[in-house]
Amino acid sequence: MTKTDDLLQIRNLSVALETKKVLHDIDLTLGVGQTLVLLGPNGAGKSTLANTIAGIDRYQLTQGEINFCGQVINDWSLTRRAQAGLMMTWQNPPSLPGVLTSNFLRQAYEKTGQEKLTIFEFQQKLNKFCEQLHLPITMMSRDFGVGFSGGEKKKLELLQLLLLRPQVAIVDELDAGLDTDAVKLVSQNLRAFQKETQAGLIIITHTAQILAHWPIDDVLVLYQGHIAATGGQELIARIQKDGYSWLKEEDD
Amino acid sequence: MTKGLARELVMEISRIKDDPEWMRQLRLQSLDIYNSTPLPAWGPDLSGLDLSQIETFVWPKNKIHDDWSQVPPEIRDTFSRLGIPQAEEKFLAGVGAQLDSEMVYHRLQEMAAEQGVYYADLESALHSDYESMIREHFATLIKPTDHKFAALHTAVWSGGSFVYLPPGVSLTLPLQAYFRLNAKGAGQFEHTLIIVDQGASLHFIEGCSAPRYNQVSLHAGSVELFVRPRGYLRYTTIENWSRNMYNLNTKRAYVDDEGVIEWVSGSFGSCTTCLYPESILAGDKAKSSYSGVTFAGTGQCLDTGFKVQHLGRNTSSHVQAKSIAKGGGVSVFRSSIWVGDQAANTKTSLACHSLILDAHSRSDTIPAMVVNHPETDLGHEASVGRVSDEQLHYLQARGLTQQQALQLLVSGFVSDFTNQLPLEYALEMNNLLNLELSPTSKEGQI
Repeated sequence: MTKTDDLLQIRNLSVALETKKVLHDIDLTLGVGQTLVLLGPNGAGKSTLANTIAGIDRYQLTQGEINFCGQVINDWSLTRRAQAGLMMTWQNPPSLPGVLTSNFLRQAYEKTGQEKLTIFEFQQKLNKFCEQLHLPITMMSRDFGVGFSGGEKKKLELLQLLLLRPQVAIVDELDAGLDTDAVKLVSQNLRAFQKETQAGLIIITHTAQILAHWPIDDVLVLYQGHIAATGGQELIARIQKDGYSWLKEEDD
Repeated sequence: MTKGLARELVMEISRIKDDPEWMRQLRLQSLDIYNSTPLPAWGPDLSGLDLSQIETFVWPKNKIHDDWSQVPPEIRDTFSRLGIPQAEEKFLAGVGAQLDSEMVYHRLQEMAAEQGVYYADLESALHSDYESMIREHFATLIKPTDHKFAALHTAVWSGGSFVYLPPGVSLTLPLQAYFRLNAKGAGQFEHTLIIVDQGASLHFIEGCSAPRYNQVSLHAGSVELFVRPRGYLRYTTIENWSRNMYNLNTKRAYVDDEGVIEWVSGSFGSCTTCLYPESILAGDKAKSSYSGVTFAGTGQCLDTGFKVQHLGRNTSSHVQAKSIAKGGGVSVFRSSIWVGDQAANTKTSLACHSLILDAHSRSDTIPAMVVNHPETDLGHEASVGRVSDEQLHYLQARGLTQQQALQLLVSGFVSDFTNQLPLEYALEMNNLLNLELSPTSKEGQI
């Protein structure tokens, strides 16, 4: 069933948080270079699904399997998934007082198995990304997250994605709280990254502005923990126009 | 081997050291004080310490060496287990290491001498032109009457360093002395005496590391520092004692007008540590700063702290303490700030932060302040924190193992301390931390 160019396949997945079932019978497939957009109202289970794929272990898989590059990864730790090239950008990354941003990034980079760089070369690489994302280079020598603005934190998540080059990235509301110009910048960089690396992207968004001029392969709409609708670009347009209330009616 | 503390033993030590008469008398007086002084009535439990069973003095098996290759392999092994790479051994060739209470290593002496600085082991110094200077200062700052272990120390002290900087002399490189214990049941009573004369400037570094033993051991060293007017002294130590060691160390600095003392102090290992360096800011505009890290793991109680006496006018002191407790370890930070009635315009601030790595470890902060002058600017802050699951998960989600994530967060917690260390010590310090944080079972799983 799994095609060789499928990066991620989720079959019949159900997830519980403590005793409460929060996701029901989820199926999705993401191929090389593809983009899947995950929509849904607040509390529909989008972030739960993202966290489950990333491997945050407060969620419990009660049924189904997650297949990454041909391997079932249900039992894989957070670390192992990350090292294998599965990455999620965080909505609210924590601050790490005393941990220099460049130090942390260097440790993370060294886990990816990319070419070894001297400290100087690595610094050059960071400088390039900072320039690309309109981030001050001085951020790299500050404590990670400490005193960073909301926008800077979001861009730093994207910087990590560009640096770590995952095969599959879950981009969780990377556009939230950014101004129009910043959303455009983030969108362009993300798209360029995907074109270059053929990474599979799962994009979670409320605004869809980040998706402008972006070829979308699949759209899934989550509603109350179920996949309530699937489709293509047209589904995004409908939800932008009508919201999610029609899903409820179809439910009834 | 001689055990316990008899008059004969003290006489024997004095005879072997070829002490001047005044030193012999001082040792014997201190012995009497020791025998009549009870154990401290406060602080950590010292009941595991059976002084009658401790060899207080071990006669050296090793002679003084002047080249690294002649340092015994197990010492070099300790260095390498602490992650000091080969390349740095050369750098460390400037190190004086104390083995079995004797100096085995001394090269920086020459470099210091070229710049007019006298640096020697204390025994040699006592037989030099500096005898009268030593007599004038020795055991005046830490008197045998201060407490039982100060008395013990003064009675049986052996080894340690003496440094004298003449007026106006600045030593550009740090003076370093490594010392450690390597004999079963050995007590270690080294004495450090440093005098920085007017307008002179010195950075002195002492580091200790010791392998594990089965028998309970005692360390009761003494550090006396004198900073004359406009002098500057930074005193850096990283101590790492074996887990059966009682580390009961006393350190004190006396600072004259416009003098500066800076303490940089990392305390690891031991079963029990009592260590409270003290600055006596006697002169006007004298300054003190203290930056310290303490790590208490399983079965350990690290009772550390800092004391300062503001006596002169316009003096200032700053304390920045970090402590970490793990695996049921207990870390206590005691502070004592005393502002005298002549100490107009004193500025003092103290910040104490603790990190507790699990639910069964403990951290206490016990401040004491006595302010006798109305013009005092006093600040105090203390906090206790934990490493959050969110932080750990985030780092793991970027490919770090749980172990690596914890190490990174803890090294972040102590970074403002580590940043004050010379590079090679900062590296060693991080390696020490990583050793302390590594699980007793397997390395952090993927």
